[in-house]
Amino acid sequence: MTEQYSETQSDLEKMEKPLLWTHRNGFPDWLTASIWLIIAFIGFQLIANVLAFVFILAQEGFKIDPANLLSLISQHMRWVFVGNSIGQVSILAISTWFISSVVVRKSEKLRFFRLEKGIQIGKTVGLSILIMVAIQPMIWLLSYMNQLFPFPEGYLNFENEQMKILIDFLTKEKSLLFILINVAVVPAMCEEILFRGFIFRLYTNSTGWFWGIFISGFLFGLYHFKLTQLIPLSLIGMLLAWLTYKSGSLIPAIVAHFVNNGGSVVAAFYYPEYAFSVGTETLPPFWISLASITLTIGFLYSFNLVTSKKAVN
Amino acid sequence: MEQKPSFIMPAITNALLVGVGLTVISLVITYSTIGSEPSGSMFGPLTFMQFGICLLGSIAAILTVNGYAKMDGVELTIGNGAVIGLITGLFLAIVTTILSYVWNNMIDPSLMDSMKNYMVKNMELFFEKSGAMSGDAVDQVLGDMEKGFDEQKTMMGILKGFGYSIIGLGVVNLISGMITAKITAKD
Repeated sequence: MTEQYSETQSDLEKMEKPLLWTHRNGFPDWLTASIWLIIAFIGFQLIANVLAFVFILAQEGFKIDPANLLSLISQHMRWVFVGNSIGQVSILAISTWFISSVVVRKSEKLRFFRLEKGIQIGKTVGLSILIMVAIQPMIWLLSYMNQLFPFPEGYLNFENEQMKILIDFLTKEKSLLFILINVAVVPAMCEEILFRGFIFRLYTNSTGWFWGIFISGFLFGLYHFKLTQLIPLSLIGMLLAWLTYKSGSLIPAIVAHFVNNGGSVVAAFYYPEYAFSVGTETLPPFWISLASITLTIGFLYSFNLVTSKKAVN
Repeated sequence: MEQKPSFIMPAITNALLVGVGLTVISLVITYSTIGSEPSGSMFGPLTFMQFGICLLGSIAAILTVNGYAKMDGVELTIGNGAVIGLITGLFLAIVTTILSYVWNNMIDPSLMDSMKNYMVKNMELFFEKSGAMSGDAVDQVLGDMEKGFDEQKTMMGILKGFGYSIIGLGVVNLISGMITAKITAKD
């Protein structure tokens, strides 16, 4: 293994070993992470959907025809996004922060979630932005490959319906700031706290960093509940976990996540039809794929060098 | 350091036993339902069967945790009970999926079609009785229902069913494993 800076076992041992409820009762960290992920997923879906429904109901003067529910959702997409953001902030971020008390003491939480600056913060943030930009054509390629899987017609229709509503919203919505906040800023912060701050940390404690990255990344892909994008989303999850692990901070992953979502939003806002056909109908040109692979490897190598022990010393 | 005994073999054995039991019960309910006349009721035995089977599946973890607690050198915590329950639930999901695949594809390949026909007839009757939806909407619902049954036969449908079984039986057994560990520890 190359020399690198990371929170190694010895660093973790320096942390006061807590005898908190889960540890006293013999709950392994991977199980605590899995249980919370399921609860958070259900809780988030409940809050987001119930709030969206209530908002739509209020907009319609508490009189709606159930047969027109789909068209009403399409008309009031703004409120669906608001419900979604409230669900993310309340469950994925705030509840995760509080629930972490079962595995870590209050005084250690900032360190546990890696919400500290970490090392070489300027360089790691800059490189994480470059990595995320460079990797986009590869994600496009993986998206295309993922679509080749023979999904049932009913499932594809369900995803297409969702996509249509989203395209319709992006072509009608006038405020780019509103979309950026709800699709890029909020998910980048909340999902990072849950997946890289909590889930990745606990899986790493149980299985080591390699499996921690792999499992938390795969769960991140599954959590989005979009099987036609499972491979690229999982890859992004694994990449963000690696950035967090190497830099010792959640900040590069939050910024990279924001760049990924924000870039898609800006592209979809100005060119909705084109942006949504990418990865589903066409392959990226060969030279773009080649450049993407070369640049991504180069930036990942630089990130590795910047966060290595030699560079830190 | 003294090593704890493994719970994997008891978990597999209990998953097999309970898995066979659950499959037999669900087949009895399915055959007796499709052999009868559709009632046109929204809620029938088939509606509650999956839920009931899932709850009954919790027996697997109870048996495994109880048996494991009696082994020499075992100090059981509720966390251990949760892990044992979850693993037993995963084995149980594998067993029930394999048994259902074997039955539906090798022993009685017509069962799924019979079930589909029964459910469609039942829903037709239900819509006729209630009269709440228009003809087109009813056709749409019944069409979707038929498609759903057809998709269950595909590899994707089987994987989807397996995924739901893992979640359902995994969670139920995790909880029953924890409760059993708590009770056993008190004893």
